[in-house]
Amino acid sequence: MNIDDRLVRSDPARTLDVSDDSLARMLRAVSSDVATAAAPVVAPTPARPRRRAAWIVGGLVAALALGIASPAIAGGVRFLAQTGWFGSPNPPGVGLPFDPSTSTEQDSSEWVDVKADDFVDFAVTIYPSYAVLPPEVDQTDFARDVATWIANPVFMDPADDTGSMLLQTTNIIGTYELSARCTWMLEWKAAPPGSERATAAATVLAESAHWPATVSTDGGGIVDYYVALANAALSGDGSLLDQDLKVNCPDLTATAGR
Amino acid sequence: MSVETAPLPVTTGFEASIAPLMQPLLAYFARRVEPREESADCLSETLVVLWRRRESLPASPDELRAFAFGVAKGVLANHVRGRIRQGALGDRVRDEVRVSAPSVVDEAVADALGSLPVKDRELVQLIVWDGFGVAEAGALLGIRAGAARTRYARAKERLRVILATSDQHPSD
Repeated sequence: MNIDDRLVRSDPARTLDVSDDSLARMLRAVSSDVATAAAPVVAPTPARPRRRAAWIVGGLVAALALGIASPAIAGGVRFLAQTGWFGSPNPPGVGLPFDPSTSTEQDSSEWVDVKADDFVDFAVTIYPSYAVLPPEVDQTDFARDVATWIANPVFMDPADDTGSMLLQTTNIIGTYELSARCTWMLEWKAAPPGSERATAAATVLAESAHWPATVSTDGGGIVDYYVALANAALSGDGSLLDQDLKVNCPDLTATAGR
Repeated sequence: MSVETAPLPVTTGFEASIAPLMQPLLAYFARRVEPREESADCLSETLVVLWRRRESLPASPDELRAFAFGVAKGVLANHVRGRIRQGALGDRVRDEVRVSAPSVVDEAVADALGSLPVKDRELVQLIVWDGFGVAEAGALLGIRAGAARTRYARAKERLRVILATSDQHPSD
């Protein structure tokens, strides 16, 4: 027996016997199930007044004066934004239409389509609870605002509604961490120098240097930089902080009534 | 959802495109997933991804096949990471996989395959078991066509040598 025949005879699936009918039913059921899951699972609540601080990100979220109920994810609910792909985004050797705007692979986290209709709903569900916010900032509103900003990057033509743009969840969480850090920098600047409030803000900034996505995406020196920034703020020096606000938080302005 | 009894209505374009891939995809997972019945869950997960991307699936059957197996490869990796959950959608297929007669294992072939580098082994399996051409299988693994041909020839030669040796000395 030649080697090819021997290999073929060793095929573990050679005796697999599953009916075409069962597979057809599975195919039908999967598409039906996903279509059902794609339907809204949590109806938006009526608009409610914002809290003291309204975070305007990139001018894109001014119209988003609405609150959303609890995170939309429920047991087993999947979002269209979720690609189901982890790590390597594209099957190798296959040219995908959304490849050009796919970000660089970061890690093994899931790729998410930021142009999917339910991206913002999904993104809110992965806001990292450790990325705490100043007391007057509503986390859900903030998460929606940042997600909306992510979904409408300035480099993308708003009229371009074709294709997809993929990001990994680590990148999204990293953006949440960065944006949360911005709120604490603004909090520090708003606090009276040397006050408990300023110290509290600087303390969170110091902790934020070690938030997971910040650490995992640090290509070199980022963690050290934020530690230095926080230490300077703790000692009352806001020069690094001012510089970072300009570089990393140019679109984030607080209209807090404080 | 009653998967068992619901009549199958008119086939949609998506289903018509994917239906010919169902048996090959299930077999792909059955060859690589342990326990084997979990191949049903991997298949349903693959279908979910394909359904989500239905607007951008390749039109050509060959490209669609390559695309679908690329997705399957990712799903398989997720299975290894424990990220594939058992769902009701796979119940019926899982049962049929479970009761399928197990293949007779040629231990010498299994050992010989196991001695190959992972990528070479996968290349051989994609070609011999999954029916891909050498270049197609190489593309799925991120290997250029020329390199895939070289690696495949070397892998086959190595299998030949190992099997010849084991046939001469079956007790080793």
